[in-house]
Amino acid sequence: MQRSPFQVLIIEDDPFMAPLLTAVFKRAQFEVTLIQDGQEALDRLQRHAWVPLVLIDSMLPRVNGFELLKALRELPQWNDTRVIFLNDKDQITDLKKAFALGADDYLAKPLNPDEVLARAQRFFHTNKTTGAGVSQSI
Amino acid sequence: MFHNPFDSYWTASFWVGTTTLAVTGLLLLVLLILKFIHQNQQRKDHRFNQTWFPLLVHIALGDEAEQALPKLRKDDDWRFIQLWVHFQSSLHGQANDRLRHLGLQVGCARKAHQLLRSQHRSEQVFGILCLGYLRDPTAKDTFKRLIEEDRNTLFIFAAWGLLRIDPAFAVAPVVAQLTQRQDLDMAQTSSLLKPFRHLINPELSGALNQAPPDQIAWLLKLGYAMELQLDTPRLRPYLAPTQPMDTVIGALRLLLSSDCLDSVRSLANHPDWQVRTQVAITLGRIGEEQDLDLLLSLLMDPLWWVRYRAAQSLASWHFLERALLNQMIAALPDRYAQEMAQQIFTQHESHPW
Repeated sequence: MQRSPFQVLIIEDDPFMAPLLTAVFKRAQFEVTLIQDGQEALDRLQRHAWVPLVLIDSMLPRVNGFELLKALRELPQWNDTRVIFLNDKDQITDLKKAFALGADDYLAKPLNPDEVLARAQRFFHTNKTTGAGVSQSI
Repeated sequence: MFHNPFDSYWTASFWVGTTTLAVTGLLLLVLLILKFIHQNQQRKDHRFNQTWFPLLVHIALGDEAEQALPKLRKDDDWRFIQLWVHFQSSLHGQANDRLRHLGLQVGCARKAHQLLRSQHRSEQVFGILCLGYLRDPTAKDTFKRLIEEDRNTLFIFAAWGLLRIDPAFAVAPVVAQLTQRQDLDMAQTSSLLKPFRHLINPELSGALNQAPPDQIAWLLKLGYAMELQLDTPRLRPYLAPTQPMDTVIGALRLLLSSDCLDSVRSLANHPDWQVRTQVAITLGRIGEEQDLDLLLSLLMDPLWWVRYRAAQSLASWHFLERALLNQMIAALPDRYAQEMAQQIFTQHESHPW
């Protein structure tokens, strides 16, 4: 079966935010995979195929978002995936840290669902992620 | 008549046994009732979440048609308010307006007013949050009363609620209370009131002009938490070495430009190590090329924290190449300064944020 070019991996454990983000991306025709545990996400990143976009929350059980982001950037197969980092705190030190570790974008909670989607779609328009042409259809 | 003494032992044993059995039976019954109540509660929670959680998600995203709204059961009021408040606090933008509209439709203001009269603080807080997110004008008088309450938690939430309902009215009484309550939890104050800083900060700046000496340090601390931007000349008087330690530190943290650097430099030998620590941080943030010697001298301070902060400031020092800086540090006559710099520089290279 042909997979959607608009795939997103959401790594978020908040019981409110996880279904909300899933709904945001699904209604925009994304293929969504949700993982709610840091260690499980790390295992999946090591085993599974590349996806163009990953959303990582900072506060995750077992392996936190910063550690996960660092680990992701150390895996060669995930080098060119786009990462949006989500944080509960709007702190400049966290923002700097996320960018230093390789995040492509940073959003502090509370989140605006429309903004999350717009920022995600921007990566498909400017595309390092899916290849030319695909992005035009979003 | 002959009385057998064993009879009374048998009687006592009988009653002890019977009572034990009765108490055990009663406890089992209580356990069963509690289990039943718990299961019933879980069933209700599950049923509520099955209906309302996806609905709130869809409404927040602007998907759901209004006529599809189910009736909110009376015993689900409290569950709804908790869920709805959580959604409101997790989101911003149009989603808040859509959720507010839903809150008004299901009539959660009535329940929220009831919660304000509760004896439990968490219920009162949820009542305030709900009415604040609804921007319910009928809550204004209650919030006005609550911001004068002794309890800081209720004050801070009521201040937030009042600022949401009527910002123009709220700002003066809220700032008046903020200046008085020097035992507020700064992290909570900052997270709740920072979204209103464009309203609060001009008032806070005015309050600083008229504040008695015992309030200055607190107002500077509050100003830092609220990202207050003050002109450097206004901060200069607070940087005098004769000022209390808290005041000097508060002013140093608020400095944004190099206009007062002469005052900052003069504090590098302050007798209080906390001031010297803040000087090391401030020089790293707004210092100039000529401040390198001062930072090197702070790196040799007898206090660990001063050395640590000076080393951090030197690690992000942009006026000199790292190799030259390393040479200068190697030439220092203080082994502890060299070790501190080496450790912080290594850390900075692996974690540059």
